[in-house]
Amino acid sequence: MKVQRLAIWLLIFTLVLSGCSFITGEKPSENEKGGSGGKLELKWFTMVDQATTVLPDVQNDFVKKKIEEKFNVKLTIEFMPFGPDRDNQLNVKVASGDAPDMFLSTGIMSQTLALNGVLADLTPFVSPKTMPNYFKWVKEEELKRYAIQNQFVRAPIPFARNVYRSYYIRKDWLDKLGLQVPTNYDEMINVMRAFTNNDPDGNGKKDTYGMSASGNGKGLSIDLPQYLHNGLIGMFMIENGKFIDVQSDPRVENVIDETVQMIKEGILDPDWYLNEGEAHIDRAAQGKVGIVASHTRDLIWDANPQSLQNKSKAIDPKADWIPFNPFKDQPGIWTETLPETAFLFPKSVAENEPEKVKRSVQILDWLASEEGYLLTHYGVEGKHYTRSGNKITLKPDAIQKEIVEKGNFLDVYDFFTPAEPEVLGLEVIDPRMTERDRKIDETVKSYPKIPSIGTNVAPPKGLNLADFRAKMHEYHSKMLFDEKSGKNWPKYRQELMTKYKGQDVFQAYVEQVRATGTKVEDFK
Amino acid sequence: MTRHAATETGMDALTHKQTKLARLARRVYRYRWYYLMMLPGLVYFLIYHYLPMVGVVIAFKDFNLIKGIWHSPWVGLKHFEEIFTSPDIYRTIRNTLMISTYRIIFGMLPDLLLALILNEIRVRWFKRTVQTITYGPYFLSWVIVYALAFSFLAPESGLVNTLLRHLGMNPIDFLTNQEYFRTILVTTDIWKNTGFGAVIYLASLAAINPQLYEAAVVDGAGRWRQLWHITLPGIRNVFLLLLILRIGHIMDAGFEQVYIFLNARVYETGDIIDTWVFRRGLENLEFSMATAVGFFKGVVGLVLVIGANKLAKRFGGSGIW
Repeated sequence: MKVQRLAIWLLIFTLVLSGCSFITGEKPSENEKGGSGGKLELKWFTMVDQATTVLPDVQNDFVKKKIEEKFNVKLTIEFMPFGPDRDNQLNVKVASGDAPDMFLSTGIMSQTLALNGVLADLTPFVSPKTMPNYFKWVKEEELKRYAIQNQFVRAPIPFARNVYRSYYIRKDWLDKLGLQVPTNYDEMINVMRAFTNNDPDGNGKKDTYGMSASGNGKGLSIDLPQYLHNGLIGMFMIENGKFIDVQSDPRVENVIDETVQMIKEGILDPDWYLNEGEAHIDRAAQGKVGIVASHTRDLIWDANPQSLQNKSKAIDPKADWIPFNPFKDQPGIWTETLPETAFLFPKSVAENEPEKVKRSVQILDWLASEEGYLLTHYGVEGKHYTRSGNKITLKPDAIQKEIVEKGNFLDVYDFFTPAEPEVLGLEVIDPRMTERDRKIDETVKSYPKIPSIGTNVAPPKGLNLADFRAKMHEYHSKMLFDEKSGKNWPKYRQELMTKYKGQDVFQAYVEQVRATGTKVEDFK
Repeated sequence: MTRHAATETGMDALTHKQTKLARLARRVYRYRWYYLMMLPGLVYFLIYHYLPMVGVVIAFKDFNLIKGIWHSPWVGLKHFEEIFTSPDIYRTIRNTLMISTYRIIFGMLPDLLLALILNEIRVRWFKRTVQTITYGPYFLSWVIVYALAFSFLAPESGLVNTLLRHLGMNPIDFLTNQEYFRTILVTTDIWKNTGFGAVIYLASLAAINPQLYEAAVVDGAGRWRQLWHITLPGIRNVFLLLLILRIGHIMDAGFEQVYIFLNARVYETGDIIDTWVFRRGLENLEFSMATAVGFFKGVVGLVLVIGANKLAKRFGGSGIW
């Protein structure tokens, strides 16, 4: 009986204790504030490129140390790669009133948050006066265009200007078959026929294909050259004053017909439709296909040990990939970039503790400065790179040992700026990069791009494109594989535009583009 | 408790009630420590399972993050209207029901069969080995199962199609074929989950009184007779219980698996409610919409569970409650 009673008292005691801390949950944070030596506590929620990234021990984290000393703050960063999981996390944080002091989000999500009235007005905080370095990366005009319904509640993080869109081809296969690098669509298809039928890898088996792509089980991959052949560039474009959604344009009829032809001839990797993500690159690395398209800058660099070039070489030492653009007759191979990721502050923080927003803005601006850029992308001068004038020479061994092997933690801090040192007038030399790599970089960078549509677009409240896109993919797939012809596309397109509300959504996009001052006709 | 009281009248009822209450109070007092110990569990269910159910009201509101659950504006049945006027929604409901039904029909019998077969094996090590092997796939994630299915069934690199090509036949697009899609779903589901499903039956088989078998043997019953008269009746209740629980989840056709196996060529037979909601939610963060769908699914599930339970009782089973 005694034991029982003791147990119960213990139980009650713990319940009361936990109840106490629950009720007075607000108070300890104030005490802590005093405890951390007058330092302002900041909580950020940012993003990383790699899910495997982790922060090192405090003594090895030279960026955190620098920021906390320089700005007299105690900075806690939570980070995740972009994706539905991160969106969910952010949702929970915001919905439960525990929004971070500064956070990043995708363009679409920031729009939802703005419509919900969660976001702080940035007018008093973000301006060329408060963020001089930031505006070296982003133009004021772009900032204005990025506004949502004329509210200045979100700002884009500096985004990469260079687009590394290119087609890549096996040069050694071409040489073996005595072919030239294709300079137009017909030559490209011819080369693909040769790659399929003439045994380019010389193993005596007919086990190669002209090209692969990743259809993700949805339909027409945007990598298929038939899009560009029909003048459809990127995802959205403005052509002769008309807004065009590339994947649902009337010209998709021809795209389908030509793709069906390619499938019939057997020169397109039959697995392409179900290939997910980067699976087509794997097929290329296995020596199965001779042409792929990609956005990845170092796809075939010698400097990247995981590159397609190096993987292919492991299987066939003669393998040699080169970039090429068979669409010189088109105004561009892709579109210029638009801001995508937004940095945001919650309204509650801006109203109650504006100092937190101000300090966060200062830190962000510092990240965009030369000092911040170099520290967060390459490390410490003298240790991880050497500098003479504007030339930065990296020390790959030190970077490997002290940054990459410590959880590759610079991934956490370099979120604010793209790896484009030329913006700050710097030139970065990676000693691992070969002459070949540099040439490839130059070539791919030089391919022409058409201007973007000028602004991010999103469906207005009450409309969505999810049903539209799903049905569109279904029809694409049906025409490709079952009907084997694009002749029904006008009929299907009509249904998509009306029943699935495509017309309404794209007309809204037209109006959003118009709001930035571009002249566009009504969507048809 | 008050059901009897309501049928009686006046003072009688009152005193009856009072004595009942008193009896209850006495009983509670006598077992007070047990009740107290039960309290944390009850509180847990109340706080984490019953209270959140209130959140279902956002299915009838336009949920706004700032305004929260209570202050978001009421919109009545708007979200339900939107769901049921969405194009292709009936196709997704049909697919959901069909896939679920297939899963129940073709998914439950293999579990039972495997358990019965394992039960008949007398060699200990063999039984254990088989059990471990069949149990293994349960721990694989659907992503891996899909990767396996892909490496067997892919049009070019797949094992089966490579074989077909070598035999001079035309390769078959298994994974993108509307007719095969549900079969592939159910088959991979059986492969993955049968071992685990059998464990539950094995446990209830072990609970059957061995004296019954001994008595049957004395009465001259063979293996089949024993199976029919002792084993099967012995696990009937577990079978019914699992069946009723599965019927309750008929509107969940297994999101994770379907989402991973789905492609645009098989939407006609494979697109389910959950994948539809996922596409919608991903784009627009429509909390209210997602809740409305969840509510709809919950109500259907509840009605079916109660119905199935009644049915089970009518046919002489014990049901869940």
